[in-house]
Amino acid sequence: MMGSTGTRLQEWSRSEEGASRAWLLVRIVWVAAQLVCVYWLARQSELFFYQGF
Amino acid sequence: VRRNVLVLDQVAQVATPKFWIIFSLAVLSLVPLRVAWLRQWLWAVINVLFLKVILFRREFVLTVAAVFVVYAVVKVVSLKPWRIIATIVLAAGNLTLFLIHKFPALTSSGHPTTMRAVLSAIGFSYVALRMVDLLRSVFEGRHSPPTLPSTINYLVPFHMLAAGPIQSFDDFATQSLAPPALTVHKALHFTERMSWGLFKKFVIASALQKLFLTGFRVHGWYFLIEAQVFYIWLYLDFSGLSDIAVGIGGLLGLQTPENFNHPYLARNMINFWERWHISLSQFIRRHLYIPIQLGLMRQTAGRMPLWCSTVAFTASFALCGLWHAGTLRFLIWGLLNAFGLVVTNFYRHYLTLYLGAKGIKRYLANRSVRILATVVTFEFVVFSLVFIEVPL
Repeated sequence: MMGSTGTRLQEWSRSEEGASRAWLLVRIVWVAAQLVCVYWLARQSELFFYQGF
Repeated sequence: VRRNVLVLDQVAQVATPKFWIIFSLAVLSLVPLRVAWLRQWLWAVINVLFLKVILFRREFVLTVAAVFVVYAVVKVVSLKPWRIIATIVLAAGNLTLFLIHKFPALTSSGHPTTMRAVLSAIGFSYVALRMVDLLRSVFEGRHSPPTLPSTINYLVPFHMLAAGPIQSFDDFATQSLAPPALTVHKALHFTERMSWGLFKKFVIASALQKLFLTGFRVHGWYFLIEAQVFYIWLYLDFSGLSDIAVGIGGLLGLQTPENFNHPYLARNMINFWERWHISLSQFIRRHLYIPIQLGLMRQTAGRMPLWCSTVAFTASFALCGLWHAGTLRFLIWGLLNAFGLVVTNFYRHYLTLYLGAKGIKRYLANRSVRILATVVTFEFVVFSLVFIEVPL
């Protein structure tokens, strides 16, 4: 079961549409990670966001 | 509480929830809207709303009234009989506010602290330069006076208040009022730009500042390391703010000029100023360097072009230094940059005479020369920047 899912995922990611969607996903995750990091650090700091976000 | 909130300068505004609430409102209202005149008005309402949330009622009313006055006086500038008087009035008002903002020592008496706080909150250094651009465009008849929403949108765009860029009025007046619809690809691209800017400023630059920068209160070898880190920190911090502005502008369909283009790769100081704070260097070129140089060339009948450029560089960058802050250290920084530009200009001139056109091409293509030139330029910039921070 796992093997067939893995194979299907590999095939999908090799296809043009799959590669482009995978790249899109990577970009969205990277943006989200950056924003979470900024938000988390800002919460730690008194200098920024001190009015409470 | 009143004093604490008002004391926020324009850069700190980006880190407040208010800024991002206004941004969300702008995205929700402007992105789906395709009607040009409605976009202009709505965009103006959003900018005024931003002023409303960052200023108290009295200061807000005064600021909006000042924008109305500018709108009315610029209208008069376009009328023949009154244009000189109106231009002088507006230029004098702009200069007075700028002096209050940047030279507190000269203007300390009689001006309440709140006025300086307001000028700081709206990023008046940038507003003043936009005003010069607007005034000159209308005075020279290149553009008709802007409408009321256009005046608001040009002078106080909320996403460009923090750290520019300084959009030229030519660019502003010729941009499409109803930009093409935002695609998913564009939306992701500009969101990436914005989040990268936030990450650069609030994570990387912030970490560098906390871990490495001491305000040059150290001596010996660490001083040299701190000088390098200071340049990198300044680039990340400042270009981060520009990325945020470009990202927001792109999402909202508002033309927002680029301000940085890998300045650390510059091979000389002229190239550096083509890559660093580009909108400011273009402003300096338009309003200071070219007028001074052309004036001197006419005076000398074009006999001493290099010396005319030297005077133009020196005067322009002395004023550039004082625009950043009315202090001796920024004057020194400006003059050092002028020195770098003048040396580059002379070097380029004599190298062309010595090597000829073909030789110059070979020289520019030489990899070792390029690396050496880039390192020397980087270190010169590092050296000049030390003066704006080192305790004197």
